[in-house]
Amino acid sequence: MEISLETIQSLAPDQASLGAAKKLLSPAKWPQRGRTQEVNVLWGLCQGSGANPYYVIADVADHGYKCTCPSRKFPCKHILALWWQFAEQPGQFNEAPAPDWVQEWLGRRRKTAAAEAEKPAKPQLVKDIHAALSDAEPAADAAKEAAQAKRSESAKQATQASISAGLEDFALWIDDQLRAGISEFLKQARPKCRQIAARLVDAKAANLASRLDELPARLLQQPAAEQAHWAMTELGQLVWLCQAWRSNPNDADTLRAIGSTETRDSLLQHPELLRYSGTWQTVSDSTETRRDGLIQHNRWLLQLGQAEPRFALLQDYYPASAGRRDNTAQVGQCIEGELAFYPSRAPLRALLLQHQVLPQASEEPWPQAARSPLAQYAQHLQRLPWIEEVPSLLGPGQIHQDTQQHYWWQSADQQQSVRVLNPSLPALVAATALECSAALARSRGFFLLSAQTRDWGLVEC
Amino acid sequence: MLKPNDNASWDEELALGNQLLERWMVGGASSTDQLPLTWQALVAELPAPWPNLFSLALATHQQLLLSRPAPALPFKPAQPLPQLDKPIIANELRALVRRCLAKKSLRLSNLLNLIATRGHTLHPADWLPTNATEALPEAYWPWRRWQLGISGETALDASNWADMPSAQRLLQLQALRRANPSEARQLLATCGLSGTAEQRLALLASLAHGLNLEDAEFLRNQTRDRAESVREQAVQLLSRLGLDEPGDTKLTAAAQDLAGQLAVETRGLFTKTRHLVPGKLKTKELRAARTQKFSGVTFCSLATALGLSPEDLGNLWSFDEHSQADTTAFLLLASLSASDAIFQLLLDRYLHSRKQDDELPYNIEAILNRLPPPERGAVLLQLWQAPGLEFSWRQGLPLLDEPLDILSWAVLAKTRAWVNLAGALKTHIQEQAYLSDTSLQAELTALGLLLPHPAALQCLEACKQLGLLMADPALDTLKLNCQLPPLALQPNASTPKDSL
Repeated sequence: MEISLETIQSLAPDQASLGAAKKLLSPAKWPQRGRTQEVNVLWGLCQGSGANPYYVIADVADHGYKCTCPSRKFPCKHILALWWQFAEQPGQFNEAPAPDWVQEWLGRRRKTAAAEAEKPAKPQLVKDIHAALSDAEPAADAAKEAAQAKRSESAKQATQASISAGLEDFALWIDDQLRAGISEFLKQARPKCRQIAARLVDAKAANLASRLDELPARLLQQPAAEQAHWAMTELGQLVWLCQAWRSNPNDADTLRAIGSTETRDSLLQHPELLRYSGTWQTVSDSTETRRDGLIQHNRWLLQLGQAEPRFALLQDYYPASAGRRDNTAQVGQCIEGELAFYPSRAPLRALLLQHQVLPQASEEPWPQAARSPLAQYAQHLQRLPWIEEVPSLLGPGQIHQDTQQHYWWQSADQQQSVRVLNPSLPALVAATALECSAALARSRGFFLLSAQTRDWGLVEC
Repeated sequence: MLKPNDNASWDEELALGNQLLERWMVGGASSTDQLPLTWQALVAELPAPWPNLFSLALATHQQLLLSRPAPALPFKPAQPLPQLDKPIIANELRALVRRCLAKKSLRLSNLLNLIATRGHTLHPADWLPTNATEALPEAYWPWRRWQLGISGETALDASNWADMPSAQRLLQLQALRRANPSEARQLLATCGLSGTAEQRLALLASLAHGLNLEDAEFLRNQTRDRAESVREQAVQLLSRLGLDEPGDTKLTAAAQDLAGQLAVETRGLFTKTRHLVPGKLKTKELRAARTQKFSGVTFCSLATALGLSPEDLGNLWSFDEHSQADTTAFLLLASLSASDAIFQLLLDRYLHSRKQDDELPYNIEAILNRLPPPERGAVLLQLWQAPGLEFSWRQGLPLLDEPLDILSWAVLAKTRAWVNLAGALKTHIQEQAYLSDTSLQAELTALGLLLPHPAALQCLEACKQLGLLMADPALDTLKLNCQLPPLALQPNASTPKDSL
């Protein structure tokens, strides 16, 4: 099982890909690497710009490959880097049985060698892997950097001015909705939201525009009797957000909610970056297709063995056409590793850094739930009044249905009950004692993610 | 942010906040003096439109923190899901089990039985029985009872017959019939067939197990049921006992009509033998009509009409001379209304008289279904071994409840069905490099469910030798079979709690 640098050179689509692959040769970029001799396959996780790493699989015999990155170059830089590392340091790849996600690919893959052979040969570009190795980083030019910094500052000022103007329009728009009546707004939520979202996109308030664009769809997910109340709550929260911007446009939480999210690289260079290491268990893994055609992939992790609950949200966005990037995260799966949290007054969103997937669920216990299920929600609302959902742990309890078929979580001592917002729940969840439940607190109740049951272990809701 | 002053209570402020929200439902601006006192100072100096917006933000924030919906009590009582006697399958195997459950070609009852024979049950988060679940292994009955809302295990008797859900009643009646045929029939006679025609049919069919002459009177009563399907079933069961309903003129006439198109001939010079042969019919339409007539008679009534005993009818059918369609119809007739012994004899005669090129009856599964499971396995093996016969593994699968222990690798490797399958797999892999043919995938899935553990191990190895990737999803059931050791090889059966 081997591959030569010359072969990699010939497989690379162009010289730039080789140069990009060279930058990925650092082991720090690869939380996991392995090989399975039986099927001639190398595999690894490569930390890209998203919250979740890319899953990279490459065959060294027939040069088939699969990577979950959205690159349109084939093979992409991640595949080239995986082969390259193996060509130079095969010892760094541990021999191991192929993980499930590799198995799945192997089971589905089509052998295209014969078909490839029949295709006319592509014109060969001149590529040189050794040239990529010797590529020197361009020398830093202090004057250029200063000019760049000045341009950045100027652009930032322009963006802030643009967003401020957009938010003034948005404030007037909300006032219009109140004066015309929320019942009118409900009738025409989609065109109205679409119109103001377009204005906010022009004003560079992309994330706020996106939230507004999704508002009508989320509105329809609410029971009809609660839609008006939900819409007013949402608009009220957005007023807080506008007010926060007027007070301090440089606030990281506000900027992220209105403008754009920090890039991975800029985040990792942040001086106040919060990092937590430990064992994390996936308590929820879901995807949602947005109006703009992007898939939003949310994965909630809970740190185990802690006294207080600490949740982390790994969030990724990618085009629907790219297929699902991370198809391995199953509820209950545990990872050992480090997470970096986006700086925030209520840090929840995080990036996965060095980590490894544990072969079996950890024995470490879940943290203790707060005495009052609403306490953590209220605390987060005080810090970020526009927050949509807050992860929390519900203590020992049971799921019941009331006479209107709504689900309720009731504490084991029957002193507290909170509305469960899941439209449906697995029959098992309502038929067993829950020791602890991970849930998202929302404006009207809690959305259950998964629950530790007394008799049946962890159950996804 | 929202602390009320000393003179205002939370309730008053909440009520004012609610009033604001009510007003915005129909539209309008808020006036400062309508706001709670603590808010008025916050919004008084703000330029338009901010007083209105700030009021909205404060009112909704107040609702988020202070107002929560209340349940419409009382809660419906929920029964806890009972633990099963057998331990839950190991956590490491659950992902594989879920993949198997997702297969369209999978027969659920076979998977449940495979796992049950290895001493385990599924995790309820992966699978729970539904109303549509048929042929549920006994290990899962507590879950079925839970699903039907029955707490605890109550023995079926005349006092709870009417109150028990029909599915539960049927399960218990079948169990009682297996344990004590006479008591089960007496219970049926006491309580009577009830429910829809389909439910009555299922109750009556439960008597097929352990059928005996003591059942005759009860069966005769059911020949007057209002549903034709129930009446037919009762007549067929009586026929299995060698009894006919003498007053059934329609049946007698149909049997006479069919008997008129068959003939008993005596042949041979020194040793005289009798043969039941078809009468000559001129057109294929007439021949097709004769085939159709087998479905309107019982085995016993046909024997009577021919002047034969039922045993003779089974013995004299001349397979060489009847058309394939008539033989199929006759075998099906025997499977429905001949006694166990006659049916077994007839089937043996058929299997021995089959020529290599003969096709199997199109409804062979329905015919073989009459056999008790142990005999069924032996017959199936005979069919899989038969040269020139296209009898696939998945055709036999519905007839087996559990993996077939007689199917060792030495036997399996020589069967025609395996030789054909291995050849097709090899060709396919060479041409396509991966398994895309859904029928071949279904064959491997079926093998995974019907092989005993040692044969499954060797079969998986053989698939690997043929070029299949171990990661191929078509091998999922085989892999599951291999990873579920037989009870004898398991060190200690773990409890459900331990396995999680």
